[in-house]
Amino acid sequence: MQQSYRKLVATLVHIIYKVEKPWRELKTELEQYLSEEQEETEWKQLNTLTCLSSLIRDGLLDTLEHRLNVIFLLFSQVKVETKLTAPMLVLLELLETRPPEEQLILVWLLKNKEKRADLCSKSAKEIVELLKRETKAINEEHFQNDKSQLLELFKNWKAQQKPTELATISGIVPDPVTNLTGSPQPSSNDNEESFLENLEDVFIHDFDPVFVRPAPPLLPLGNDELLLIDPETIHEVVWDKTLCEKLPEVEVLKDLINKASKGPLQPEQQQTLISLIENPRVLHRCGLTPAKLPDLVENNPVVAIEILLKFVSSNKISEYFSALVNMDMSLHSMEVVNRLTTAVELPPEFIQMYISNCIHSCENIRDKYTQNRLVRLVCVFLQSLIKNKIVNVQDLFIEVQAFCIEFSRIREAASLFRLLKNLE
Amino acid sequence: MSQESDDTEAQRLAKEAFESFRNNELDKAIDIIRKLEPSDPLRSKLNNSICLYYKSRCKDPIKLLSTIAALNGKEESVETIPQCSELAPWFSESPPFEFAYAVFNEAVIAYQLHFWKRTCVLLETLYSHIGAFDDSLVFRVWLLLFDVYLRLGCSDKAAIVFGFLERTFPSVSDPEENKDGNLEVWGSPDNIMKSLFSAYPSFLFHRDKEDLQLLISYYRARLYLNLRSYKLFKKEIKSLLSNCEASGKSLVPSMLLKIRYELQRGNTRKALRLASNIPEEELEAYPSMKCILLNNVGCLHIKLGRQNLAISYLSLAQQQLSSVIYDDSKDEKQVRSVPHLSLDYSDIIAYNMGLSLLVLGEYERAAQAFWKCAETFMTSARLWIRLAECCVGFDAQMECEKESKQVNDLVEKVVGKGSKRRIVIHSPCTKNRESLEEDSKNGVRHPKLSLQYGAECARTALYLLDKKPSRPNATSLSTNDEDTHSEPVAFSASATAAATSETSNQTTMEQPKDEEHSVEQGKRQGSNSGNKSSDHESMFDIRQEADKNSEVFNEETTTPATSSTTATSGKPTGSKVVTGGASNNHEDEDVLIRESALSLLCYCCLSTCPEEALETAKELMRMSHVSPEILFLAHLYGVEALCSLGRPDEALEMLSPQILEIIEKCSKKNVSLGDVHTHPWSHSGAEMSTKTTSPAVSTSSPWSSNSYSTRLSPESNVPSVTDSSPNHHLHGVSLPNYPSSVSKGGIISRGAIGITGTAAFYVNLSSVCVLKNKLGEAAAAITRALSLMPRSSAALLMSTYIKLREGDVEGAKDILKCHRVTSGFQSLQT
Repeated sequence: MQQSYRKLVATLVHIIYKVEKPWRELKTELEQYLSEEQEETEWKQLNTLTCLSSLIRDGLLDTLEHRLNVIFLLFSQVKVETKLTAPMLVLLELLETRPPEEQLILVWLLKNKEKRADLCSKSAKEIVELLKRETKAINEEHFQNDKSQLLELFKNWKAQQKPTELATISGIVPDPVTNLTGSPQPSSNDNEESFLENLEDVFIHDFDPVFVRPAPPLLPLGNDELLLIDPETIHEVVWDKTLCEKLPEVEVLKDLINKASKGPLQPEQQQTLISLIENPRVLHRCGLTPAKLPDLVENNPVVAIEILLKFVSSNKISEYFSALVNMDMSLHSMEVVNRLTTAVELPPEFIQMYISNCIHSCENIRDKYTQNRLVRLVCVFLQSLIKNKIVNVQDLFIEVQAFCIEFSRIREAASLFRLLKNLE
Repeated sequence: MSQESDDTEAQRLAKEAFESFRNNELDKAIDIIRKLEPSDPLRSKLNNSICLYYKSRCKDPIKLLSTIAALNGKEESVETIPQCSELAPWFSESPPFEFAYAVFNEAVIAYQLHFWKRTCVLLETLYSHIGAFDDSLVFRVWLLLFDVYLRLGCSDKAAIVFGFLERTFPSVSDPEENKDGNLEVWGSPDNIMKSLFSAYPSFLFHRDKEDLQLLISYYRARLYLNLRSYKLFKKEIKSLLSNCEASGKSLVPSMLLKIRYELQRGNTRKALRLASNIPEEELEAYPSMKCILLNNVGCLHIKLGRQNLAISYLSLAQQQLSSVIYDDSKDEKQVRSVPHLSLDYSDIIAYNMGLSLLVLGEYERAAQAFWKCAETFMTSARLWIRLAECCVGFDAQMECEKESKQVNDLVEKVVGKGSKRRIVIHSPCTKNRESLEEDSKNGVRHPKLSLQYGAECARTALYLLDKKPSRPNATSLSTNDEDTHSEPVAFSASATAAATSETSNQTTMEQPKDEEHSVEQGKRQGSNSGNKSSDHESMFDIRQEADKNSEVFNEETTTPATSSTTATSGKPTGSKVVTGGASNNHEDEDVLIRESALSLLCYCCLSTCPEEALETAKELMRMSHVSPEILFLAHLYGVEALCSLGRPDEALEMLSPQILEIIEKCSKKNVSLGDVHTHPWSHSGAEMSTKTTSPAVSTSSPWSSNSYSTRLSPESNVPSVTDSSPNHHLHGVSLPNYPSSVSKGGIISRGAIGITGTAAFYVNLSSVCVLKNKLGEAAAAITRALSLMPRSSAALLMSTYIKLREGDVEGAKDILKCHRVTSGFQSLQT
């Protein structure tokens, strides 16, 4: 126990032990003590409340006079009786738990102004005598009503509190030393000094319901959470071997690609171009972007096929494919796709998308002559794909069947329809 | 005509310069380059700085990086180059034919400095135009990209580039293949590199044809192992070992792969035997291999539950690493060379060390280790889970230390004399936690391992999980099980790319999750914390960094390079179909990580923010697949949160029916598991490994005992078999638990709620009944708890509490006295 707190307890016990002094004087004495050092007033008030409530709550006071003094000192800390301040709440709690005579004093102090004034002029000893005389007041309706009102107030306050707060009880259990027969030894010394010596310490210790909170288990060791290391090769900074390297073929090829995108090439130009693209380093620098591909396909399908076949192992091929799929349908584009399907394995999604594109193009053409021509082409193209098992019929069955029915007047469409039926 | 002859002369000189460079005649090479400056100023500049770089024995890359930056059209300081993630305009707009070597060299240095994402971006740009480059560069780009992909955990992408190599260089990839033979890969001063890496297995480093073939074979074996294609791996490693043996090359790299293979197959002891069979002299000859072996053996010991031994090996690995990377001969510790930094595995070793320390209950040291590698693995949810576990474990340990003062004693102290004697009951009430908070303010408690920090870590893990893009259709993947989990090497966001066919066929790719949504969610989670400490600010930075990381990788979907990573089935290596792990494993792991993160978050929030704890508990309960023990904990946590929020009615509702079903379900599961695993990696014993008074009942209180906590000691090298609770197994990995008795609440084992959990349930049920003023039911519940664990301090305290509430002071005193065995015993005798 800290020295200052010890001093506070001693002072309070000293006041409590003045059983023959009127309560008014006790109040003055306490107030004097509390206001002795201005800066410590708040601390003193708080600890006075702790100490007083602990003394009475833990059953440390044997005589009624002392207990009554504590009740009064607690009451003296109540500034406004209607406000539920901490001392008020302590008193209300006592009203619930203490014996009837103490309850009577509590009710008088809290509810009866006349009685309160009368009590303040009396000492604890006199009040005990008074209580002996007025024990029947306990059974009076007036007292019971006042008590109920106070308890109601306390009940209302409790209703607003969390159950966890309300469940808190004192964690201090009185355990007086017992004699051989098992009954508590009577307090040999009833004086202030021996009381303080036996008391040792006064404090509040709460005891709450226990919640067990087991910690979650460790996350299992992941599949590859243990980090094993594999040796790697040493990567080093390297000399730029393209120093002073000239690739004149690149310029020639770029020129030819530009020409090929604008119009048909002469056979010898075409031959030069095809020989130049044999060198992958030159090919990749030819400047043919996917955006330029449709023009090349329209003007020089053979060149387009050769270039695409060279690009097929490159990472860029998908971009060229999507450019091909999205260009307008034409004989040349179909020729390119057809050659590609026979030369390499194309992604099925690409072929399906191309076929759908062709069918839509046929449906949207207004000019009957051109439409018939294109439908024939598409039908022949489809038959070739189906016969060569490049396309899975099931994937396109409904769409192609509808196409055949729509253009059933055209001989090639009818034969495609028959082919579909046979395969079905 | 004169122009043509000038060109020819320039080309002759260029060739001469290269020969001089290769022969380590750097001054001569520099002289020649000067002459070539008028005809090719930019490349001359680059080669000149390359010569200077080698002249500094690869110690000073600044000049080289400045030159590259200048070529790149940037005038930025060298320090910022590796960090810059965006490419200069010429890079993205037109193919990088002209400065491919500059790009490659920057990628090499970025890789050596561990800026793998930067390396990856640079290399993928080159790879998308790979056909335009000479074979030597193509091979080097391939080799580096493969390594970077594996470091980033993208085995599927590595498989794609490997397929490309096999198509491009059949002569190198297959020794049987004899057509178009010569791949000339020389490009650096051989002597300098050889002297720098004299102690490195030659086939991993030399560039002649025989070594290249062995190197490719080794890389193929690595790929198969990462893809978990074990049959192919076995075949490959067998041929590699025999080829190495026949040509007198070191077997260590191949043996290291074999060790990993055995570990992955669950043959940890066999792996350990293999490791011990590696001749000591070979290891002494190759210090870097020794470091790798020590780390890998450390991992084997972790798997075997020998954490102390693992820590010893990992510490040795760390020491060995320092001697490999740093030049000790000088007074000041200096890095040997920039390429040596690529051998710096300290982050990996630190993570493994962190795992071991965590299992040992050395939470502060574990957290230190995780922090050390956090920069590397910061986008891995697992890292954050582990850190959160450190915080939770540390909190539980602190509680335990506090409680250890009154082991087996319900009485805190006795005050007063004679008729004024009083018993002060030890009260584990939440209010008393305030003292701990005060301790933390006074610096007693490690502020960084607070529950608030733990909650932040758990939130970050959840955020990263939410950000993780959904995986492409599992059926279309026949790749690996590795990409996100093999190494928690972050960058999990990058793991979305699917495999491709050998012809690089194309389909559309599933897009990652909506970025904005995840970011918002992350921010929401961040704001939930309500904590303004700098730790948490930095945590938010990490989230932002994670955003950036995933943005970089999401960008991949638009770059030409990764557009090839999008096709049908993965047949990366010719006709050899690679069979891969199931995506179900990923889902299982993701669920486990999520439930773990949520349970940790819930635990941490119970003390700080019960509202969030309740929400988290409810989220756990809503999860469709959640482990019963976690579901059980979610109920317990939810109940406690509801009670502290003043809602005991709902708490009672939550506690009653479901939880008994969960306990029952879990006990059935335990019966079906059947066996007790003798070598869990949590050797320190799992849930309350206690003596029992009866076969079914633990005697030592899980909530008060700390007598089983394990510390580093030689004896504990031997795995304990005292763990009576069956450990849950996942993917053949036995699951860890916190060291026993570190939590006042004990630990729920994986796969086992057990007596401890059931007793905890009854204690909490009793408390809820008390809050509802149902003292009779509370007493009945506590009787059940005591019948399961008669010496559980929590149950005894609760029993005392009920007696006091019932006014039975003598009964309460009886309980207190019967369990009072320590110093105050005498004074309590009547």
